[in-house]
Amino acid sequence: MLDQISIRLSGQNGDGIFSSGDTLAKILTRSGLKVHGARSYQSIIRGGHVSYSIRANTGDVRAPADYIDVMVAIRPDSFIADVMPMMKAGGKVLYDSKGFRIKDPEVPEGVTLIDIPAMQMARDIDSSIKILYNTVFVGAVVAMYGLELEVHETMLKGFFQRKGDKVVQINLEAARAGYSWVEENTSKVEHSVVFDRSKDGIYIGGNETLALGMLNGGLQSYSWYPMTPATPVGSFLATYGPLSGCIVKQMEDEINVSNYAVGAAFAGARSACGTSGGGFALMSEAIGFASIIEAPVVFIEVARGGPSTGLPTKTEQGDLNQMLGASQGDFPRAIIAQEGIADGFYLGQESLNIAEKYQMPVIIASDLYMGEHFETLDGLDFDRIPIERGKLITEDIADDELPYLRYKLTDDGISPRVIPGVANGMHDAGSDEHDEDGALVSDKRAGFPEAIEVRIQQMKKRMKKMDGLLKELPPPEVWGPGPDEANLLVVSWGSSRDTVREALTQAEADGVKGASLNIKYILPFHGKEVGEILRAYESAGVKILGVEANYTGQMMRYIRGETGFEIKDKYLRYEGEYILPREVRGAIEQFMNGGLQQ
Amino acid sequence: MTETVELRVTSKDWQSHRPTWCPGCGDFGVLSATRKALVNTQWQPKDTVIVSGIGCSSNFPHFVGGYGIHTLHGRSQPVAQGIKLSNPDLNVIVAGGDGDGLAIGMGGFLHAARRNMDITYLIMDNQVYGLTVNQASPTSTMDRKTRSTPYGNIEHPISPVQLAISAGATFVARTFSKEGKQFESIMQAALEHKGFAFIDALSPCVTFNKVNTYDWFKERVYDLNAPDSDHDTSDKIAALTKADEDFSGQIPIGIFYQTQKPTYEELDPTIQKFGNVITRGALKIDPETRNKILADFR
Ligand SMILES: Cc1ncc(C[n+]2csc(CCOP(=O)(O)OP(=O)(O)O)c2C)c(N)n1
Ligand code: SF4
Repeated sequence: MLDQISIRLSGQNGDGIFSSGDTLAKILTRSGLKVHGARSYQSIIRGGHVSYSIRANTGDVRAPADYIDVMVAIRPDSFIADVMPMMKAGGKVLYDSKGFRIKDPEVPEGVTLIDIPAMQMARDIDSSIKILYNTVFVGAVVAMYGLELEVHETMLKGFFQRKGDKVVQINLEAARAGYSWVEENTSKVEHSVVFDRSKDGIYIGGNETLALGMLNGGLQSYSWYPMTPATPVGSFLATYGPLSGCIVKQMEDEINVSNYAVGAAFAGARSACGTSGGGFALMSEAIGFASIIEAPVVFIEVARGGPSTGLPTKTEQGDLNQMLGASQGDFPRAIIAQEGIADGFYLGQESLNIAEKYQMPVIIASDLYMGEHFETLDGLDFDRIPIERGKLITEDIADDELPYLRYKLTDDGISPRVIPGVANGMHDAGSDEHDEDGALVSDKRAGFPEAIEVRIQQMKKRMKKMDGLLKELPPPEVWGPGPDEANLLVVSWGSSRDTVREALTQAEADGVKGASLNIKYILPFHGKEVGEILRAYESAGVKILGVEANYTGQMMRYIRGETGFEIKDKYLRYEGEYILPREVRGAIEQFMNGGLQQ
Repeated sequence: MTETVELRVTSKDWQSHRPTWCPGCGDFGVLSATRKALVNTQWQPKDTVIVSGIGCSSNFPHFVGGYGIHTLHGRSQPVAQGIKLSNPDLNVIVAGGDGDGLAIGMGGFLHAARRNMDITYLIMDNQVYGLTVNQASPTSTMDRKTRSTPYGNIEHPISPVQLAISAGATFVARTFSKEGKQFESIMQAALEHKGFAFIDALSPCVTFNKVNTYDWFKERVYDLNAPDSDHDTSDKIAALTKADEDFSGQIPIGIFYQTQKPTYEELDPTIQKFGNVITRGALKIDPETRNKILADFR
């Protein structure tokens, strides 16, 4: 008896795997379950190999399934790429030997093959719709798990209504055909998961929650240039921005995307822009520009596998060094990692507040896995985080309050910020070093004692904002047992959080008492607190393991630089696939029993 | 942004820091003609933003009243677009050099022109890189000797006027910094033009360009829009042909091309629905829209 649901649809581009997966995930969500959905795909539009994995249960599901119980294997390649590595005894494979010419496929021992003539059934219903077979397969999966056909039907009606009644009717027939075939020809999956149609969540991805959060944070300007895997943020906002007062501008390249965002911020808009690693490299100069003119801009970096064009459709946490090193000179900026799907919603709002309160660029570190996997959420709190704009002047300045100084020296380093249109607030914002009024000190005045003094004052003023921000940010918290009870501490960051924690939960069965420290606020960094945590666990004799998705252990090096504490043992992944809990568990097992072999 | 009693704007309102240009620099003429044109428009300095890149000429915003933003080398266009779309009620003027706008900023320039936002763009064209002390620019003529072309320039110059016309600018002119009267009236027409207005302002660098000097230009320029001229500013092909007269012969100055097209901001779906998003304010998603969005994820 299975205690969770674990399905994968596997095929090639053009099989409609993504929309079928979405349909199935939403059927499960509408049946009251929490779903985790993750896709695997390649950088081509037709052919190749794609899959959509779904894991669902009654409680929160925040990591991908370790094994697949029901596989829809449409293409011969599905057996090599999905069935063999992801299935074990007891699993069931739905496939169509005739329709897709699959002869004697190889499967792990104990896996049942169910040969369903999906293609023929689809053709019998309507031979003009080429990929109708995917609806047949989904109908079959619905039956396998004893889900209600009616929920599937409602989904299809909603999805296809804009294509007209005939298309709806055809799809309904296909779903029913797949469903009935299973009822009549094979045994169902035995499981203990209870469906409850009265529950109602949303099924949404990490890029979308981030975008939704920013929109709810009063975002007024978003600029972008398409780049996988950051594109969904842009398409979400292109669709919904115009419904909620946000101007969305696709620019000609990421250099201009980022400078557009600075212009919008200067004008007084809540402003953000987004890209992946390659585009972020082009944004570098604008980040320092935003910082020196003290314009609040949120820069989103959804990483793919690097270097260069790298692995466009695969995940990696490989851009930390780039984010830390982006743009010349010393300047204040924040770097915050997205840790989860729901987290994205709140982080989107928080990041805009930080940018405006501290008048500095904020970089959000995400990655393909984080941005492009989906979870069911019930209840996002749209009112939890208020819109905070900091020291912003939008009313005319009275004559007796003059002179207005845009870069006025203050105790917290934050100067009241005026926006164009305000009387008596006129000034020049310059990318050159400037004085309190915005006048350049880089030309005629440079080198004179007065200019040297101005430079020192302005540097100190700007950098002081980092101290204030660090105090406001919540210090890191350890999940799991304290130093005295634990025997393992795993250190990770951003998107690795939930997979690591699921692995630690699993590893309890192996006698592991695991704690997890997942870094979210990267800059400014709680170096003191993180150092104290690491030393507390180390001196209690707890073993410490770093886990991250890159080759050199960028976060572990950063932690060493900031705390002086070296995390020697690391489980590093850089092949691009998202990490499974069982893989982390395996690494933990090795580590606890002698040493990691990598 | 409360309503104030608007007094008559005078030249004094457009004064700012003292220019740091070399004595005699062509940019002085550009500055004074621009200030006069600004007075003619009676725009409020507080509602005006001058955007520039980096270069001698890009120090412009510091020398003119109003709000100024002195951006990065070659990046004035995207910054100006971010400002204009966020707050379409602002008057946005972009100024910079030929290196800034035609080398590093070329992409931004062409895309700005095609979008036809209501922005005025002024290139102070001295056919050289001034601030980095004398290298060839995209408008440097063949054979010119500079520090980057000590054996003579072997690249053909490009025509900013032709580029602007083909990219879709709806007002395209060329003028000369010593022709104060013409400059002022062209500048005013550009400012008042609704759409992307481009001016190629011939503005000699007295320090580094010893070829294309004031006298050199004075001998060659002629008024394209003179009463006896048959140039039709609504004829795009005629304008491109006129702009093809290279600097080896006579140099036409005046308005090459002008037309009317909807501006980007008139077509933007968010602006159509909400108008100016800055004056609307930064707001949470209203409950109705929230439900509409979430419904797509159920
Ligand atoms: C990214 C970048 N590259 C190079 C420079 C150096 N730089 C400053 S101004 C300039 C060219 C100036 O020429 P132009 O735009 O024609 O203006 P002018 O000084 O002649 O008015 C260059 C190359 C820079 N500031 N930034
Ligand atoms: S170097 Fe040339 S362009 Fe620069 S200020 Fe001097 S004269 Fe003007």
